[in-house]
Amino acid sequence: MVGCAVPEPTPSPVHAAVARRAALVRELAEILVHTLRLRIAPDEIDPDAPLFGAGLQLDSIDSVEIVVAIEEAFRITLVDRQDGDPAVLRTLNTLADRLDETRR
Amino acid sequence: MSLADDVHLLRRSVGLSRPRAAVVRVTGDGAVPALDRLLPCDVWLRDGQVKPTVLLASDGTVEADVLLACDGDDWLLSADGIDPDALIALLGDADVEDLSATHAQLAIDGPFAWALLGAWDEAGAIGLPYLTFYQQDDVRVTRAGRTGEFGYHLLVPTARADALGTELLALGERFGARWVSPAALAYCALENGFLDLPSLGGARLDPRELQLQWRIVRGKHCRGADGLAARASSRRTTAFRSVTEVAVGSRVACEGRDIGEVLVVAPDVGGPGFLGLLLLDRDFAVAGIDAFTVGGMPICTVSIPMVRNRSLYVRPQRHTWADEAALPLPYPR
Repeated sequence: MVGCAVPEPTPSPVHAAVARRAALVRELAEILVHTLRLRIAPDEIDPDAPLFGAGLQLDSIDSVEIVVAIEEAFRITLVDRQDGDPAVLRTLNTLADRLDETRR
Repeated sequence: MSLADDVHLLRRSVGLSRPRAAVVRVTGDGAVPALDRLLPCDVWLRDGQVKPTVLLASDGTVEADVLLACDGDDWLLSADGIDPDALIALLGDADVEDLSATHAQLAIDGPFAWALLGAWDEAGAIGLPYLTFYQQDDVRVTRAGRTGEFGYHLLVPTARADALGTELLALGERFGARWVSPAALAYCALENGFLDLPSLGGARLDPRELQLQWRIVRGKHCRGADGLAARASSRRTTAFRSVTEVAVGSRVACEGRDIGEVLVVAPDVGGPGFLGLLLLDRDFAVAGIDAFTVGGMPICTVSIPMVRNRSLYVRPQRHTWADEAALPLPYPR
């Protein structure tokens, strides 16, 4: 038949999960670059690169900005202000883990 | 002591070791140009600052794990994975002194490493920022490590090294400190995502594949830059855990499709199972996926670090060794 578009195959649950996680990490990288006005492209931030100390060498002021930006973007509480776990902010992947937890 | 005993010590208290990196001092007007030509990072540091980077081979793969330190007008280069003579040859016409020939190295790692170092040198140790150094008489103390815990690297004149080691061991007795094996340090590096080239079994990988882009400046002209630019870097390392044992080199599959291989694996010291690194096609190199398989058995990709370092919860300004029992542990006692 003329003019019929072939529908895209539906991705399997695994492929969908991989794509979802990759998109989440990419979005977090974009938030970091935009919020902190970093002079690198989002894809230059490896998912397991340390954000503080070595790695991107962000500081405590940056951490506040990041938390606020992510909480606003995803409409969640990322870090408990009283008992915030420092492990959450270690890398893009640990941030993504926390977001996945809050959305389950 | 077993590997597990040493790892538990490094994660709970403090362990001592003897690193063997190539260490050179680079001086003179030719120092900065030589370092800038050699290293893929910016060579602009404050006095007393230390920067982790890598040495690239001509094909763009990582050849050595490097720390660059600025000491006034001089520079210290510490490289793990290359001989001192080879490192000196790469620095060309710069004035270079091989400190590996005249100095030994000691390392102190663990959540209470700062307490042991403070027992030896109270004024200098407490409050030393990460990736900085200071000089205590003829001993250079650098705060750096590869375990994810507090870590200090000491560069000591060879003639004094044994005595200093004995002194630190005595001071560390109340913390349970003792010498730990290189294998335990490599295991801790694996859990925390630090580069440990011997663990990669000879695999030649570039900074993008190893998730070390933060250690280089993209597009900087230096040794290995052309080789790196020519590489496709279509793969990336990703950490994993598995219940069943898997072998290095085993293929990783996603719904029957080959997506990579097992690069590093070790028994999990913190409990049953195994952990390690995969080298996956970039499209699949994400954490949090529990549907990949190795030999038909499920594995789970995870984020790094693969451990909650006790050092995250230790505050040298507030805590003392008396608080040790109350602080969280990454593994069951």
